[in-house]
Amino acid sequence: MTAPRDSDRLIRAFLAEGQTDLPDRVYDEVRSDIEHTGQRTVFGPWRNSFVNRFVAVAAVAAVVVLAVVIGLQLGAGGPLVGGPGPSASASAPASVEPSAEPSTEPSVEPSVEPSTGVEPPFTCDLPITLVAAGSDFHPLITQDIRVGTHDGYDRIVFEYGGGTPFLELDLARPPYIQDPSGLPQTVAGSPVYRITLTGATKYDTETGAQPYQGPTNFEPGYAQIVQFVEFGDFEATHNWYLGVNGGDCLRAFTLLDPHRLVIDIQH
Amino acid sequence: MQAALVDRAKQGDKEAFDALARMVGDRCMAIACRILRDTDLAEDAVQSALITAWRELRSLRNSDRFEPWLHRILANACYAEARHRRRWSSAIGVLPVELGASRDETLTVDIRDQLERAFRRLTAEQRAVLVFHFYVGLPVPEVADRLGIPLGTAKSRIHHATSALRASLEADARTPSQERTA
Repeated sequence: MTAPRDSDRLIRAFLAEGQTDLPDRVYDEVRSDIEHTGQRTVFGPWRNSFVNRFVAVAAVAAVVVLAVVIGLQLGAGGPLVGGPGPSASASAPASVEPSAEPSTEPSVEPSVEPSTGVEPPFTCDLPITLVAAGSDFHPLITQDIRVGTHDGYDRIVFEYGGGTPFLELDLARPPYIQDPSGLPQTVAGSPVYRITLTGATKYDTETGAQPYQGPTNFEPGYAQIVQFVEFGDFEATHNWYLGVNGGDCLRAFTLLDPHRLVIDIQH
Repeated sequence: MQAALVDRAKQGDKEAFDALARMVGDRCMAIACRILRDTDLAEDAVQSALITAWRELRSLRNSDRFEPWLHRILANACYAEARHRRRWSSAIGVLPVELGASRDETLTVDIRDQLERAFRRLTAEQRAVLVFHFYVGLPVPEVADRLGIPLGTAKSRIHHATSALRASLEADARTPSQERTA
């Protein structure tokens, strides 16, 4: 029998073997790629300086004041300044599945989004990836999941406390396999995309809490989102499949306060 | 020096990022090669990780943490490459990993073959914890930190992966007569 210490030594020796040089052509390809790849604009980190904290507090205060003003106007029955707001342009169709009702409130999401044009352009190049941010390398607990429809796009929002996970969004081909059961499942719509969120989970294993208890299968009947369904929440990897209606270009980006990961599907 | 390059690259300095990439590229290649057991896939994973790092560099808060941050991106790129390979694996033959000049004489051909087979049966996530623990030399809590997984998950993956590799070594060490009498 091989003693554990011997086997550890053999494993180390085994892993020590192999290539350790990255060929020059890869550096050249990276260099060529970044020549026409911009860097994502990141707002924050807010916690690192007094000035940034002040700016964050001021921004939150501005949003609160705006919300109060809009609320007063709505309460008085008067029209919104500047025409119909996001909530007016994003009414959910009557055919929303009952299971999706608690989280298909489209008027919630746009009212807290910046309208400063920070959203990236839509792209049809897949996969789309977003690096994890601000998580301090601990799994992020899902606080909320919402879908909504807007003028020109449908939107999916994952909300987290403390950061956003690594995202990979790619075209999926059947069979669509549930994780970790390994069972194939169907997804309505075509094409179908796989959304992998690495470093995120609904369950807080330290406290046993599960802040998000809403639906894990959305069939809202929007122009693009046909079905958006959870396929796995296992070992801090949260998998979803998204079936759409014909499909167009997509975009993914993050928002702060609270931390949100946003996926838009263009109409 | 590395942090200074990171700070310059965050300002959009492509030359600085190129220098940074050349500083960490070989290490990334070594890690990716060992996780994926395939040179071409490893090159693709490193290239993808470096481009993602460039795009997302401004989200890195602490410039001193560039390499751990990049390794986490790299691990995710390796998982993505492994998934793509699994999708097409029925049509692709597996080539033995290139040993290069670092061949270890303590490994016999049989042991190397047993470990290679057992290692290829592990998931990419299990391989990653082994590589960061046994090859990079990180203690388990740092492996968990670097890969962004709970400590318990890292321990569990290392336990199952090393058990699988040990089992393959024990199977190899067992003589035919021992097997008959077992």
